[in-house]
Amino acid sequence: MITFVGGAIINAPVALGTGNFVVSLLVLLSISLRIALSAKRMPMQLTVESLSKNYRGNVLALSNVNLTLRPGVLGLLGPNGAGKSTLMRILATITRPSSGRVLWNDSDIAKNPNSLRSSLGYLPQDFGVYPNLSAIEFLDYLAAVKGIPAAAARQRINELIALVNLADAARRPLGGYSGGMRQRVGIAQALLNDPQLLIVDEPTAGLDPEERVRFRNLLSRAVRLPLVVVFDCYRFADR
Amino acid sequence: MGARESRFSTRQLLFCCANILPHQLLGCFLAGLSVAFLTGAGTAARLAIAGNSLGLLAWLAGALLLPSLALFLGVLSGTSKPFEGLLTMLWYVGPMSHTPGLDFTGTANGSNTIPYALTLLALTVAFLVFALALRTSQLRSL
Repeated sequence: MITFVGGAIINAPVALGTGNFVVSLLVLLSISLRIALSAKRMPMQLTVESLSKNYRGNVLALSNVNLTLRPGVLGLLGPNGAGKSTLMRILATITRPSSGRVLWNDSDIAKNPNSLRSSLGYLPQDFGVYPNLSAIEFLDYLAAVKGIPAAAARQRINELIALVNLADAARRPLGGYSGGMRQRVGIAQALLNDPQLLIVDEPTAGLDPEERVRFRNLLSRAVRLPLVVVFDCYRFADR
Repeated sequence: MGARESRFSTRQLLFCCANILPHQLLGCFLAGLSVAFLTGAGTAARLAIAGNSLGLLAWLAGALLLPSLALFLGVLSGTSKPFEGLLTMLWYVGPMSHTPGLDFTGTANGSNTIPYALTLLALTVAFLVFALALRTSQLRSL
């Protein structure tokens, strides 16, 4: 992206040389816009430094974890109790580490969690829903909590409902949904704010084989780079 | 109020959202406040028409107290039961038995309406501050 913007800057004097001032101005404005957008998108790096987590009873869940994540897909593999979910909860800013730090684009998420939260989509391993709400109402509520303007949220929810293939059931109460349907609502809520970092924790646990295939296809359609995707792969055979 | 996230296990989904406190906790309080205002609107209108400003102050203090108490107890306990139990007792001791000071509708407070109302307003602020502090600590401790 830097190369592309730099190339555009080199072309700018050519446009000025034609004498068409308006065109030149538009080119310069376009370049400025591209630089601004690329500066916003460019960094996208998650750094984990010497991360440790101790629970009560001196249970060590994580010990001195170091990682640097850039756009792409990362799979975390390990048996039960290895600390995968703990690491994911720390990355999702909902668990505080005992020591070490996590940097999102050089910003410490312990000091400034909103810097990551505004770019984060998170699908936890176990999550609940409000059973009396429909999928649309539930997503609408979460969009409001995430601070997405109502008009943009409505459009995004319609896109996501279609993406997760829930259009027929979107107005039915979530209490009547199957596990697979709830999981699809989960992935829809994780994508609501068009996240740069998507964290999914054992997304196919508890799903039947058909639902697992559907879920993998759904995620591969939903995830378009540049997104840092962290994928918890406890059931390695599923992949 | 403040307990639905625990009751329905949605805390992980909600607590990773940016600016969750102003968006969700404040929204929850305002929703509770609007219910209190709507259910007591008839009394407030009657007091306003009668020009009973002290009664209106007492009503306002009571209307602010209940949602803040509900929010505090909900965030603290993660269930709605403590508030439901306490509210039942408060209704019996306060408005039904007309116990001065505990009657949050303000009708039994007589000449002490202003100090009682100010006490309830102070309690409202305290409950909100505690609810905010508790929820802030919960956000990073799942």
